[in-house]
Amino acid sequence: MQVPGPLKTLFSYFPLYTHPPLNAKRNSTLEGPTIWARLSKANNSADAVLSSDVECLKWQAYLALRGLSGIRVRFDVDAQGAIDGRLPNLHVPFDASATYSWSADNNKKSSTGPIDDSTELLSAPHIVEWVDAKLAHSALDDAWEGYKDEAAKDESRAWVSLLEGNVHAALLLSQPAESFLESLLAPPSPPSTSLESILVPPPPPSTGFLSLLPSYSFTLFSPFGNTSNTTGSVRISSATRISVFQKYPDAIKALSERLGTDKWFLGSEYPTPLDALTFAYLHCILQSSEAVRKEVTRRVNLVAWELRVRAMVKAAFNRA
Amino acid sequence: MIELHVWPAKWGLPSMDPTSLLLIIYMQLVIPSKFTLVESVNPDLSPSGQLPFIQNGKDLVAPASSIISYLADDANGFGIPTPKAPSNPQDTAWLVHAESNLGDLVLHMLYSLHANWNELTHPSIVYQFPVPQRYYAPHRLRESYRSRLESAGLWSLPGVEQEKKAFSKERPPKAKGNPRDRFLRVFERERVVEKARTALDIYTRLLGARTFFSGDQPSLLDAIVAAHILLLSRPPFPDPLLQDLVNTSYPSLVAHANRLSDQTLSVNIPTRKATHENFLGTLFPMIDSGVESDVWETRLRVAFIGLMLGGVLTYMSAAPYINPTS
Repeated sequence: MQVPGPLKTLFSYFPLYTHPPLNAKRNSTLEGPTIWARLSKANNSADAVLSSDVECLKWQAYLALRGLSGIRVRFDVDAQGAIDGRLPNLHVPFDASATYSWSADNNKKSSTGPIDDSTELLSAPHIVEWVDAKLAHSALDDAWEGYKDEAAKDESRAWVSLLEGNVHAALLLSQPAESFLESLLAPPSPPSTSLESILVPPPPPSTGFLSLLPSYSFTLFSPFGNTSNTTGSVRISSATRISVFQKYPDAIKALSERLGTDKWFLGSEYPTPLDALTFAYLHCILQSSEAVRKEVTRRVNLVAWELRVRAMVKAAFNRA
Repeated sequence: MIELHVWPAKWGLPSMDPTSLLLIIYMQLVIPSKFTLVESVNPDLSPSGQLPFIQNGKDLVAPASSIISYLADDANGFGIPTPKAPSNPQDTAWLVHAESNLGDLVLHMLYSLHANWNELTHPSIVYQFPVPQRYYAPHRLRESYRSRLESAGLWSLPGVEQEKKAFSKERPPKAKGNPRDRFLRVFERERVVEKARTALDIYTRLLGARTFFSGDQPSLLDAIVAAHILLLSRPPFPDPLLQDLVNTSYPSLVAHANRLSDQTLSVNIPTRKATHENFLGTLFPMIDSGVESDVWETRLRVAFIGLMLGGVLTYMSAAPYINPTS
């Protein structure tokens, strides 16, 4: 059926132009593995390579401590552009010979013209596999994953939960509350660990368990300041806050006593993921408010250890 | 006399909540028979908004870590002979690890598995609440644990029995979807069992062949581990995913929990139920005073009520002067 005459003349006033597809390969060449991380708020100088977010920094430390170097860092990618909305992501050149678990299905697809599949983007959990493939050596090959013995390996799990529990809670609570205007204007925050998933027992809903008022209506109308560390519908009471800041010095004291004068935590010979995690937390604590910082600055061995590891980690990255 | 407010007793244990149970065991070790239990379902009375909390005369203390340091503080006159504070630095780490990992497993069994929630936990607790709260408070309680279980990857695992019921009655079963779904569900349950196995193996190795975790005197770590193992092994779960695992593969941990339970819980602790006098007061949110942000909050509240009353009075006084249009 033909388009009727009058309609054809109408359409002739709105011609359709087709442009050839853009080839993205020429525009952005990836020079090497690049990590997309979140920028430090305080330090915007051109040579800042370490992120101020614990999650991103721990992966940066992991890459550096496993011996990789020459990795570039990009801070200009927003969290919403990352996989699952969570930074960090690692942008690497595609390696067809390596068999990663996630690319098994994609191998069968042939590449079409305009899509650039010479690089791939890895989310955080896949970074470990990539590093293992690159170094041709996995942590699981070592006896006790690189720790001294089985008891040390078990103990490392305990230290991980101490860091991700008590220390992380104190760090979250010490961040200054953002004002109402900022919380309105800020983009939706990425899903990160919030206080409700860390505290034991979990904090109650903001209106309490037994009240008739549902709790979600309080998140939007709280002009006295929303702390960005919860999803807004729970109430962190002063008693909970006091107890978090009471447990925090004990945690730091235990960390410092366990480190002693060892080179790496738990007396390991080579750096382990626990060292990466500890470095990330110590670095972020030393950059946050005085309340949490003074506990760490009192422990000379922790400060010295952090300084030494910071030099190692910084050396592995350069700004893209 | 100190009163410890806890979630209600069930299944032969003095409380159904792991934190409450571990505090009961710990207080029995430290100040035996010098406290009473109050079974309560009103967490809003607590300073931290959650049970358990203690009331000693005028002092109200919560959460659990504050309670432990309150008891250890000599100024409060408890005269505890040996401080049960951790002497090794790694003990601090073990306490946190036990409470978070074993706690996740217990909460998964009680609150996440649908069969257990529908047939065991919910019926146990729902009748303790007064009438209007019965319909929404248990659900809120379950939702409060959701964030923690989601970040541990232990939330919303469909139980095998519950899925069977849904398929047989309502829809004709889709033959193509079923085997793969069932395979995925079984795979997820295996994953949970693996997670539990890693955590429980660590504690078996830590306990070794000793009677208690730190020598021959029970400590806070023993109380924590025993409370969680008791809650994993004793209640009659309809979906015994982790209960079977604990009872069959970890006899040393079960023996340790039983030993501690015989030492502490076999004695009868005086218990009473919390009274429901200010029932209407529980319908509205409690005011938490004493923090800087709440001064601002009280000021706003006063300003709002003041403006509202002022507006009403102005309108009422101006009403005779408003001419109705005829």
